[in-house]
Amino acid sequence: MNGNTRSSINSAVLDTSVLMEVLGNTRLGETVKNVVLKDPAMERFYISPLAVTELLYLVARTAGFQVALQQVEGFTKVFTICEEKELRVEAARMKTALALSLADCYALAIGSLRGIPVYFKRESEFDVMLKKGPIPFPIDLRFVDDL
Amino acid sequence: MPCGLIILSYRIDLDAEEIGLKSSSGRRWVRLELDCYKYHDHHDHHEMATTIQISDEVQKRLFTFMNQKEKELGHRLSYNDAIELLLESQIVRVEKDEFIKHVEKYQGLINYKDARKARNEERQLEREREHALQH
Repeated sequence: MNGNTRSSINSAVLDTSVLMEVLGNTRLGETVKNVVLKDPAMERFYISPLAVTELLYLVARTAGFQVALQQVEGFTKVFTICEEKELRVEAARMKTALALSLADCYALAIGSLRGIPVYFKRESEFDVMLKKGPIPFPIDLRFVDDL
Repeated sequence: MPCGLIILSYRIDLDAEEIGLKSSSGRRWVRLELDCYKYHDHHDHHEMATTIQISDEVQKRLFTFMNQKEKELGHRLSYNDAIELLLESQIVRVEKDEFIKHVEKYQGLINYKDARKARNEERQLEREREHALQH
């Protein structure tokens, strides 16, 4: 066994863009809930520590920081938040090769290390990147727009 | 790095059922307490194996757990492997109905349009900073 223990249980990574759809109660968020979150085969959902940071500042801008802290901590307690130190090297490797944000690279790093799918909302950075060719890493990249 | 001995104390709450223990008190959770020692000097950060101290009772329980897991997995396990398996079992498992109810409680927490705008602005700034660094 080593630090990169691959999960034998069905699980997936959710990026901030996906969590925003759910928390924003959008139509796409409802689809994510019905298709991905309710999938009985899915037993664990991972999120990156940077996704938590992103959610915190997004909520804090309108609700204030203390409320954001309480709400986001409450919401994320049913998810598995990966340790940053487990991800930093892999995320840096992704960031070196891909024109994506650091937060995206942390989400991809979880998928890469655990061998599980990573769900994103399709955003312009991905379109630009994928036009140049497939991601040069063995990652199961999925877009909730395609559900 | 200053020199000296670093003592780290961990408390890990384990699900008794998960590790195959029958708790005499009927409690669901079993607490494993570990004291870890790491030595540093002025020249090196010694990445030696960490020594941990556990009580006889916990050692017996860990041994029982290892035996059970070895039978299941069909190969020998070290104490390190056993502890890693226990830590892995602490990862949140989703009870589907409760999970969905929990998520639904928070739907509508953010104003989607505002949040999207704020995030796009942050990302645009990040791209501009990177572009400036590259040129």
